[in-house]
Amino acid sequence: MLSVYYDAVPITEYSPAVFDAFVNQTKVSLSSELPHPGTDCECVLSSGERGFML
Amino acid sequence: MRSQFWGARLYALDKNASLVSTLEPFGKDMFSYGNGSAYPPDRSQAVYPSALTVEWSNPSLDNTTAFALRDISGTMKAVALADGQNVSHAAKYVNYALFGTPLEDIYGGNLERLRKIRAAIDPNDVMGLTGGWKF
Repeated sequence: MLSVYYDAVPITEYSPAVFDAFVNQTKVSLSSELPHPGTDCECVLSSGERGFML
Repeated sequence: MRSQFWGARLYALDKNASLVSTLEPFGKDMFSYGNGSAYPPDRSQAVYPSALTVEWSNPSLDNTTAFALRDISGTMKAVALADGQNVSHAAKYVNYALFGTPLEDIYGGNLERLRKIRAAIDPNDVMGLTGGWKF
């Protein structure tokens, strides 16, 4: 059984810095360690770093 | 690298764990419609609710995931402040706020009025027997 928690983060603008921070804070691993490599869930941050979004 | 800390750590502890960011880019004039309401306590600027979600299957991680969410929320607020955003007192959206969030962080200056309404309408605090936020 899965449990779920939420939290709210009030933001006034999804600027590049804020967007990248959201992605960085929640991604699981770099592409070489992706649970499902090659899926369209891969993303590329503005920094050029590759990540994974669930 | 700290930015990957929670995602990597939770995944290492529980392969069913996931962390999700939900960004909600509403219009800048979103609070110019309608009248005053419990939320948001301040309608002078648009504030996008933005949800963080963590899912996991190992019950022993309950405290860890709550701690992780609070840590990520705090980091995101610091990033927004450093980005010049006026979020030091921005209200958290009630439907997303994590348990234990102070009511002041959700209802701001409306909290005292809401407490008075609760006392007048529900003097025996029947609604206090339910879940949710307690006034």
